[in-house]
Parts: sequence; C-alpha cells; structure tokens
Amino acid sequence: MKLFTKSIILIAFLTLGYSLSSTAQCLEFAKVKGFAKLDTSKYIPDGRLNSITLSEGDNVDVYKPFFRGRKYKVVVVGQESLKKVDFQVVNFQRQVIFDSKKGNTNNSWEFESEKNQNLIIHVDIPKGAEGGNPKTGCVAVVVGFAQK
Amino acid sequence: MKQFGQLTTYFFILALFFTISSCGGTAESTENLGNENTDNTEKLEKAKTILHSLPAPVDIASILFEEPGAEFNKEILNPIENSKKYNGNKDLALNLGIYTADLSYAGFFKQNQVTLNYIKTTKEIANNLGISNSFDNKHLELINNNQVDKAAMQKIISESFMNTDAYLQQNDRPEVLTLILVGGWIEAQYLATKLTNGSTTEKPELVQRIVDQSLTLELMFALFDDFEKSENIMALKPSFSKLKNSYKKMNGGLTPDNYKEFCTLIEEIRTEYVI
Repeated sequence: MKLFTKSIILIAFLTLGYSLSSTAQCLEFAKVKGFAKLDTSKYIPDGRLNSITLSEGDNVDVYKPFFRGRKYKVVVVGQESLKKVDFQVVNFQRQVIFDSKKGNTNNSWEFESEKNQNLIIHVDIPKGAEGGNPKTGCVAVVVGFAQK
Repeated sequence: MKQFGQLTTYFFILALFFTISSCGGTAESTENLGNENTDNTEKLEKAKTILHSLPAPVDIASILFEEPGAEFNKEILNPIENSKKYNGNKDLALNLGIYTADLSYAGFFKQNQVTLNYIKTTKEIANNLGISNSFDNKHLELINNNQVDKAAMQKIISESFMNTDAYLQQNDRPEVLTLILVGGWIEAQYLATKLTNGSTTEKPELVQRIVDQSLTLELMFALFDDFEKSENIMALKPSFSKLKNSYKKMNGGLTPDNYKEFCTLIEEIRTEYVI
C-alpha cells in the first residue's frame, strides 16, 4: 500500500514536471520562431502569445479582433516534428478569407483590414501516415501590426 | 527478492509515465461541433480547441491613441501611490492590467520617465502576484538612457507582456491572465474617453475608435463563458452587460447622450477597480 502511494506521487510529479517543461519549451519556441518570421523590424508583436501543443490530425481556432485601417501580419509556425502546419483565416460565418495552402504563402499573411471584424485563425495539422504514431509538436500563432 | 519487486514496480511506473506523456492532447477548452454544415466547401468546420485571444493593453493603446487628437495627459493615469492599496489576486490582477495600459499609453507618447515609473509599479504588482521577469533589465536601461524610439518602446512593452502571458500560461493561471486583460482594456477605454471630454464632436476619430471596441467586448463575453466556475470573472459580468447595452445603443446611432452615458459607465467600472 505504501509502495502504491509512493508510486502515485512519483507519477504525479513526473507528469507535472514533463508538462511544465513542455509548455515552457513551446512558449520559447513561439517567441523565437514566431518573432523571426513576423519580421519585427516591420511589425510590432501584438503582445499575445498564442501557442499550443498539437498532434497530427489536431486543429485549433484562435479568435481575434482586427480593426479597420490597420495593417497586420499573421504568422503560424510549427516545430520540426510536425511535418506540415496549415492555416486558414475565416470569418464568423466560417467563410474562408485566406488559405495558406493556396500560393506561396510561407505560412504568413499580410493584409490591411478594411473593416472591424472578429476573425478566426484556424490551424490544422494534417494527419500523418496511416498506422504510425501521430507526431506531436508546438504550434504558435503570432500576430503583429504595422505602425502608422 | 523484495528489492527486485520494487525495481519492477518502478520500471512499470516509468513506462506508464512515458505512455501518458506521449499521448499529447491539449489543455484548453474544447468545443465539439460534429454536426457543422459541410455542404458548402468554402465553409470550414470549427476546431476541437478554441482560444479567445483578447488584445493586450499595448495593442489597444496603439489602436486608440494613434488617432489624431489623442495626446498625453499624466493626470488621468491611475496614480502610482494607489498600488499599495491592492491586495488579493483579483484586485492585483485587474490593476496590473490598468497600470500596463497606463504605461502603454505613456510609452506610446514616449514619456520615458513616466513609462519607467509605471514599469517599476507593474513589476511590484507582478511580483505580488507571483509573476517574475516581466521586463528585461537591458530594456529598462535603454528606456532610461533615452535610446528607444516609439516603435522600439512599443516592442519592449509588447514583449514584456508576452513574458507575463507566457508565465501565466505555463503555470496554468488563465483566470489571472483574463483579469489583467480586462483591467487593461477598461483602463485604455477610460483614458480614451477622458481625452474626448465626453464629447462626440471634439475628437470624432478617437470616439469612433472607442465605439469600434465593441468588437473586443464581443470576444470578451465569449471568453467569460470559459470561466463559468470562476467567481472573480463572473463577478465582472453584470457591469460588462451594462457596457454591452451601451455599445448597442451607440452602434444603433451615436448621440451625445448615449456617448456620455457610456463614458460615465466606463468611469464607474474603472473607479470600482482602482478603488
């Protein structure tokens, strides 16, 4: 019984420690890779760090307001363990406004918002090879605005 | 034999741990919408995981204060001396947001000394909330030596807020993060309304930017739904519902009366937070 209790405590500590270090790594990745791709000489990061650990076949929606007359750059980066990371920007009617798979987008989108709108950045990790274990990795959505 | 048994058990535990760890998965709130209409190929299904990304105070400040007519006025900031009054996570977090909006406003107008003073205050409050390393010392030195332009100042403030954001995510404290964002948003709106003197005609572009913020409020309500079990967040809802109604009136047609009513409401909420 004593051994069982010890075992539970050990599992709890190991799992918590792994989870914290994995989140920390993900956040660091988001800052380093995300900022580099954002090009902070042109765009000021908006101050939010949207990062999450995803597996192949997973997806995430990031809801975000965009304001009329402002120039934005949306960047999505994924860790190397994830072979492919796609993203679409859709409105609240789920109509696609931008698709990273169309054209040579380099997983970023620069645009000027013509109106005030809440948009959804939909990030999708395509499924991996059948039968294999799904790969897991950190994904970050970084948004910057151009100074007037 | 007993030792062998113990070793086998620990091996089993480690194997179990690595199995659990490799399962992946996400910790955020989930929404399953399997019945989404997929007839229209141009429409995209909702994701399993939803993140509501409310704007950071530095972002709101740049939206509001880049409008012509916006200027710096130190008198409308929450005085630094007030910081000693705040206790408890809710008050500390809301006022960390408020002071962050104040320093973003001061930073936007390159008021270096005021910005530095407010950075020191936010660092103290952040420490009281158990948040460390929000501002990098080398950045503080650059501001102190007047070596930053407006864009660089905004980047410093933005990056420091990202550090706070990251720290709170890492330590699973989304309630505190939300309170900071709410406090920052209210303060930015308060500062902007003060600059308009409650008039729709003095600085019409700034008034329009204030009204545009109904978009953020819409998102804020969606975020509140993720915190139904949080007393601190739910306690904010009644006053924000009043704000929602006020926005509705202004979006239906902006008048001097409904704008004045909105300004009063923002001031009342802010007064409640800064005490």
